[in-house]
Order: sequence, then structure tokens, then C-alpha cells
Amino acid sequence: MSDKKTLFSFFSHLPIRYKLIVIILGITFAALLTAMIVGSIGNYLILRAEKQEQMGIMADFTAKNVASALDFLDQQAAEESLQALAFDSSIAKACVYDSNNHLFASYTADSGKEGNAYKPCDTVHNEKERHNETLNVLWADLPIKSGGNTIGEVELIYDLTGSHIKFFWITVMNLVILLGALLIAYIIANIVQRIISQPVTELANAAHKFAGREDFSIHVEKTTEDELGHMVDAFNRMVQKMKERDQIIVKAREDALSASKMKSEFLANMSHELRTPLNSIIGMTRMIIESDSLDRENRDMGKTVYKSATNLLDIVNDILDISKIEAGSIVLEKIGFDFKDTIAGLVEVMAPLASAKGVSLKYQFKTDDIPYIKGDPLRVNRILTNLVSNAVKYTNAGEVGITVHRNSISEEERKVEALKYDGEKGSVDVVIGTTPVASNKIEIYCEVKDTGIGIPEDKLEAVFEKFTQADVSTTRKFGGTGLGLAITRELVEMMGGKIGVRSKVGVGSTFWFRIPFDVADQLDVQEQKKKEKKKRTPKTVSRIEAGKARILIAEDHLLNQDFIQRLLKRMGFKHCEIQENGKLALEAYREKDYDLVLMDCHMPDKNGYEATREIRKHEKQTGRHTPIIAMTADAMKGTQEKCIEAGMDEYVTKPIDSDELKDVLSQWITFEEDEGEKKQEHQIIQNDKDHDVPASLGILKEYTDTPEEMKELIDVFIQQSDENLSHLEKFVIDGECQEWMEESHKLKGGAGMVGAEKLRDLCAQAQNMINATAKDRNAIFTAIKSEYEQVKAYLLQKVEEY
Amino acid sequence: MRTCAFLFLVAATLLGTFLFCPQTAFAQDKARQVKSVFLFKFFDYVTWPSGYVPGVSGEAVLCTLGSHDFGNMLEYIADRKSSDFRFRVKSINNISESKACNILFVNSGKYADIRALQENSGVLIVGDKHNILESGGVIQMKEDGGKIGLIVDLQHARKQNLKISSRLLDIAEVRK
Repeated sequence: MSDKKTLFSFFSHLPIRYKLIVIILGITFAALLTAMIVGSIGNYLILRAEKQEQMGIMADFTAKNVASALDFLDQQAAEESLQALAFDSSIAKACVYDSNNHLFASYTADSGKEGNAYKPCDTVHNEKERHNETLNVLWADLPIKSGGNTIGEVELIYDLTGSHIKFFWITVMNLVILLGALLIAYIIANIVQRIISQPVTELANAAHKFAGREDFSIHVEKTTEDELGHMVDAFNRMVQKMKERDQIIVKAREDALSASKMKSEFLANMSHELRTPLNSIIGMTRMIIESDSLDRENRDMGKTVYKSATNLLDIVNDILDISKIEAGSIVLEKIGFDFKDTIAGLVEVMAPLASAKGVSLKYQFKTDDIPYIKGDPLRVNRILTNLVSNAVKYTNAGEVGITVHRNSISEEERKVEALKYDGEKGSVDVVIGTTPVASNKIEIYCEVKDTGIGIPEDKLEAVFEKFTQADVSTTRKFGGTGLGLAITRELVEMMGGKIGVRSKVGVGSTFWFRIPFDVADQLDVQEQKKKEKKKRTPKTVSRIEAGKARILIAEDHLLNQDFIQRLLKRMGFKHCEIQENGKLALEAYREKDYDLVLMDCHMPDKNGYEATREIRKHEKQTGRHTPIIAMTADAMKGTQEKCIEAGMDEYVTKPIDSDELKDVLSQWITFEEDEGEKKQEHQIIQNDKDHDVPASLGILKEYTDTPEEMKELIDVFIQQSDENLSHLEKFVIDGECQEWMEESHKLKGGAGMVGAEKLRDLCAQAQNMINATAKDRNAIFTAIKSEYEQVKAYLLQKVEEY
Repeated sequence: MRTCAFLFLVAATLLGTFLFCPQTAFAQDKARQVKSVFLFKFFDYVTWPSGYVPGVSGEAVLCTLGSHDFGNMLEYIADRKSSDFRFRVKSINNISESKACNILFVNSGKYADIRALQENSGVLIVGDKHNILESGGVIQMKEDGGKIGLIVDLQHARKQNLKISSRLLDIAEVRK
């Protein structure tokens, strides 16, 4: 059975030409062999029958010949006539018996060569032995008659050995002929198989080659007009058609790619074109609001403009993002970053917004051990921002919290927790957990839990759809494009994660996502820079005072020009010159000396990159190095790298954040006492600042409408600061400590909000002690704690007064 | 076959009869037996003109001319030999009586009489002495060392309008 199978499998693996040869030879062999065997058997049977007949005749003849001799008892004559049988050497012997069965005459063949193999005739005829025929011997018995009487009997014994030998050689000859015929059949088969197998083989080779290389130049020569020829034709036609189709596809692909590229470029341009005026509006409005010369009514109107412009920017960003996602032009980065930093940064950004609404924002890592992960920090931040800002948006009062878990909560636990909502009314909880998926993989689980208005069950799925909000009235009430969650979902899914929501109307919603990340060994250079940005160190030994520094600003947009100029003026710069394109900036640079250049990247007549390159080229001769800071609103990937590559030292993104700009500038510029600057930065809220009090409620007043809200905010501040302080105490230790820095930073943020300047300064001081001794840390911690107690007492007293 | 067996029996009986005879007498007896058997065999090897054998009487007739020493052996054989026709043994004393004979054994004393026989009389004249053929006989049964040989004179056979079978001629000495 297995042999049969092996044989069949062997046969099925044979190339067609061998198959054909084997088949042809097999059939030929079978036919010839059958013919030969049947023929031989037939011939042999005929031979025997002929011999038998021949013997009958001979016996008859002999009987007649010896009859008279027997009649007249002439033994000599009888033997003489028997001698006539010698003509056939195969006749072994002939015996003539008389009527009494006595041997009368006999003949034995002269078989001298083989020795006398034949027994002489029996002297008395034995009836029993008469028919002892064997394969090699034929017998014939015939009575001898004379005058109607039987006078004796003649017995002939015919030896077939000779015939057998002859027959054997004939068979051998037949076999030789058969082999010869097979050889001829093989030669013919070899020729004939080519007719069939060659086109097939060529076709197969061509198809193989084609499949391997997709070489459209392949053409198979047609040699026959039968089905094979048609197959060859069809193959050639197929290749031709595929070639044509391929050309169409290639062209279509090129068209699509170029269209996509154009779209992408258009989007980038649109992004730039839309954001630039908006940025100007936002920046200018902010300065108008912050200026001293406005009365309260005008300032309120200004604030409305500011808020609307910011909303518009968000909407524009959302629309651009979703169109980019749809165009598939978003490519996720895969760089090492610290998820904890992302959360901390997010909270820092979102905290003022939350506290302005009187909503507390908490975050909690349920694990201390979140490794660096590989991913796209900007998009992760975007996901978190969307979820948290949504939570804050739909929560009217209370607390917002973020919690990080070591392990993700099981489905069951989550269901229970979803209904429990132990948080206060009006809170957003962000719960983050991780599950190690593999040794080098981790799944981050994050929950953003609010105590907001909630979502009806039948709308839960729809909230992730584009342009959808739970309720039409929601849009009127809360604004927004309805794109935020759609973008969020797209991003989460792009990262291979899942997003979902549980909610109860009037109780709150919990948005959660889980995303798997690779564990990163180290932070990406850019991320490392970002981490270090907070502690930027002076680039040069001799920094220039802001008041004395000569600044060149290359900016084509009028509003932006104005905005930057005012910003710099506020920072204390006195010598600022503006050029409206790269070419003019370059000319100005060559004519005068500048201490620093602020360079817009997109400008007519030489853009920022080109201008920078030429400046650097020029500097090669002079040996100077003027710091150049790029200003870019281009959010497209690679812009930062492009800036550095062009020779710029730093970059700030638009809308320009004055803190960031100042931070960047501080590498080359010294500013006057922080106090003065801060005074300007928080001018609006410092109107009623009393230098003797530990805190001021200016900012809180700006963001709140009622004393109740204010009270809530203060509660949040106290609650959070208590927590921060207790955390900070834990990190009064020796050596480098990131957590110490983070906790003092959080505390600093809170202090800023309530205008506790001294506390803020102390915190800033502590924040810089990233690497310090426990003793030093303890000293500053004691100072912070004592100052905080005063601030807390003051605030609580103030709250009572309201 | 039965005839053969019978002949053997006869031979054995005769053998018993002459048991006390001297050796030559025994051999002479055997020769006589063989000769008598041969005489009847000639019917098988000789073809007579039509109407002679069997003759009008439906018999084949063996005649003896002159005295002979076969005794009643010939009659014995004639009775037993099977054939399509009957055999009769007839003793004649004159050649003129031979018209009814198919085979005529002539005693040597009567050889001279043979000359009186006309041509085409259809009689096979057999003798056992050397001058039978010179006297006009057709077959001589010659005793030679215990064996009986045959000498055939074809000229005389033709004169009598007899055809001798070639097979007989094969084993006989032929004179032309």
C-alpha cells in the first residue's frame, strides 16, 4: 500500500516528458509482452499438435512399410525399413511388435553425441507403459494391418528436446526483438514527447519566471496549433493584459500617490494658513486682555474673543486631524517616552481648566513601575487630552482624578466600580493600569472617570462616531465639533488598542482605553530633551541682559509681528527689529550685529531654513555664532528636525507660549528679576495683589463666577496640595529623584493658581533640586510646609469672608 | 490377431507332437508350418484379374499339385483364416484341373507339368525347390538357414496376368 503510494507520488513528481516516455514505453512493453507470451504459448501448442500429427503420419507410414516384413517374418527387411526414420533425428526410437507383443524389429536413433539416452525397445510390449508421455516425449502407437488383419503394432517415440531447444531460442530471439522494439519505442517516445512536453515545459518555465519576477517581457513561442498552442496564446495574451493592467495600476498608483501628496501638502498649507491668523488673534487678544488699559466690560469682551478664537483653533485642529487620519497620512512614531511624564504634563495643562470650572482633576498611578514605552507621545497625549477635556467639559462641579493601576482591572470589577462612583459629585478620575503582555510588551490601561452628566445607554456607541454628540442639545450647551472622540478612537485603534465607555445618566461616565506598547530601553533623544527642557542651562558663559540684547525678528505676518514684538517688550527687550522676509532678514543681518534671531520658517522670498543656512554659511568666515530660534506653526512631522538641520539652535511652536519662549531665550539672555516679569505675566490677576499676604485670589476670581465655585476651587487646591505635600515628604532622600521634582512641580502649579508667590518660589527652588542631599531637601521641605500652612490658613479665612 | 494367436497355438501343438523327433525333423516341421502360412499370405499380396478371387463360388482356392507334406495343416489354416471370403484347399492331380485354383503349390515332381499351363490363366504357381521358377513358377519359397525367403519371377507373374504387391517385392528377391 505504501509502496503503491510512494510509486504514485514518485510518478506524480516526474516531469511531464518522463511521464510521457514512461506511459508510452509501459504501453508498448505491455502490448509486446502480451503478444509475445500469447504467441509463444500458441506456437508451442501448435508445435506439439503438429508434431503429434506428424508422428501419426509417420507411424502409419512405418506400419504400412513393415507390414509385409512382419507378414513374411523378415526381420531384416523390417529393420531396414525402420532405418528410413533416421531422416528425422527427433525420432528417438521405433519398435515393431508382432501379434504376440514380442519385439519384432526396432530402431533407435543414433544419439552418439548425447550418449545413448534412449532405452532400447522392450522385448515384450508392455501395454501399461505405453502412454507414459512426458513434456519432452511424444508417443504414437499404431496397429500394423495386413489383409484386414492386425498383425502387430508399431510404436514411435518422438523426442521433443530438439524442438524445445529450437523453441527456446526462438523465444530468446523474440525477447531480443521485444527489447529492440522497446528501444525504438523509447526513441520515438523521446521525439514524440517533445511535441507535447516541450511547449508545456516552456510554458511552465515562463509562468514560473513570470510569477517570480513579474517580467512582462516574457513571451512564449507557439509551436503547435492544438490545445497547447491555444494555451500558449492564452498565456501570452494574459501576460499582455496583465502588462497593460499593471501599467494602468502603476499609473493609477502614481496618480493616487501624487494626489495624496498634493492633499497632504494642501493640508499642511491649510493648517498653516488657518492657524497663522488664528494664532495672531489668540496672541493679540491675550495681550489685550492682559493690558492695564481696559475696563472690566472691555476685558470681558476680549476674553470672549479669546475663548472663541481658542475654540475655533481647536475645531480647526480637530477637522485637520480627522482629515489627516482619513487620508491615512498620519504615521505613528515609535520612540521611547515616559508615560508618567505624559500624564504629569497633561495634568499640568488641564489643571487650570478644571479648576476654573471648579472640577478637581486627580490622577493616580496604581503602580510605581511603569517602564519607558515605545510609541507616539504626541498622539498618546492627544488621546488623553481629548478624554480628560471631555470629562472636564461635561462635568459641572466637583473633582477630576487620574489613577494609575499596576494591573488592569478585570471586567467584573470594572462593572462594579462603574456603578459605585465613590468619587464626589463632579469629579473626573483617570485610572491607569498596566498589564505585562510579554517580557518586552506592556498593556497600559487607563480610565478617565467623571461624575458628569452621563450618556444614555443607547448613545454609548454613537459617541465615538464622527460629528456625533450624545444629544443635539449638548452641542448647543457645551459646544465642540463632535470629532474629539472619533479622533481619539481612530488613534487608539491605530495603536492597536481598544477604547470604550461605561456610563449612567446623571451619575457619570468612564472612558477607558487599553493600548499595548513595546517596552523601551531608553528615552528618545527628543523626549530626553523635553524632559531636560525644564532645566535648561545657559548656553554661553556671558549671557546678555534682555534690555541690552539686539534681536532680529523675521516674520511676514503683520499680526504675528505685532504680537511677538509686544511679547518681547514685555519680557524687557528694548532693541527689536522686524524684517518681513528671509531675504531682508539676511541683508539686515549682514549690515548689523544681532545677539539673537527669531526666525519664522514660512516666509516669502527665502524661507527661514534658507536664510538660516546662508547666515551659517556667512558665519563660517567671521567665526561667530548667532543663536537662531525657529518659530513654526507647522505641526507636520519632521519640522523640528528640519530646523536643527538648517542650523537653528532652538525652536518654539506657535502659538508662542511666553513661558516657553522665555525658557528658550534664557539660554542666551538674562532677564530682570522674576518678580517684575511675573507681575506682567499675571497682570490681570494681580490687580488686587497684596504683597503682605501669602496668597492672592486674583486668578481664581478670573476663572470663577460665584463664591461657591471659588470655595470649591480652594478646597480642591487644599486637598491636592495636602496630597502633594505628603508625597513630597516621602521623597526627602539622597540622590537624584524624579518624583521629588514632579511633586514640587505640582505643588508649584497649585501655588501659582492661588497667587501664593512665596510658596511658588520655594517650590520652584525645590523643583530644581533634582539631584540633592536629603539634608538640603529636608530644609526646603520644612520651609515649603511652613509657608503652605500660612497660605492654607489665609485661604480658609478668605473663604469664610466670602 | 486371433489368427496369429492361433498360429502360435498350432505351432506349439506341432512342437508337442514332434517332441521326440530328432532336431532336424523338428526344424523341417517348422519350415513346413511357415510355408503353409506363407501360402495363405500370398492372397494378401497378389492381385488376380477380376473375378478370380473370390471366384464365382465366392471362395479363394489354394490347390496343391502332386503330393505334399503339409498334412492337413492347410485345411486347418483355411478354416481359421479370417477374410471377406472363404478359403478352400483343393488337391489336384493334373495341371488341367488348375483352372479353378488361385494359388497352386506344385510338388517338385510335377514341375514339368507346369509348362502345360496356358498364359493368362490367373494361377499363382508356388514351389519350394530351386527349379520352380525355371519351370514357369512365380514364387519360390527358399529355405535358407532356418529362414524362409521368397524369390519372385515377375515375368511369369505377368504371363499369368498377376500383380505382385510392391510390399511383397520389397522383402523378396526379384527376378525379371
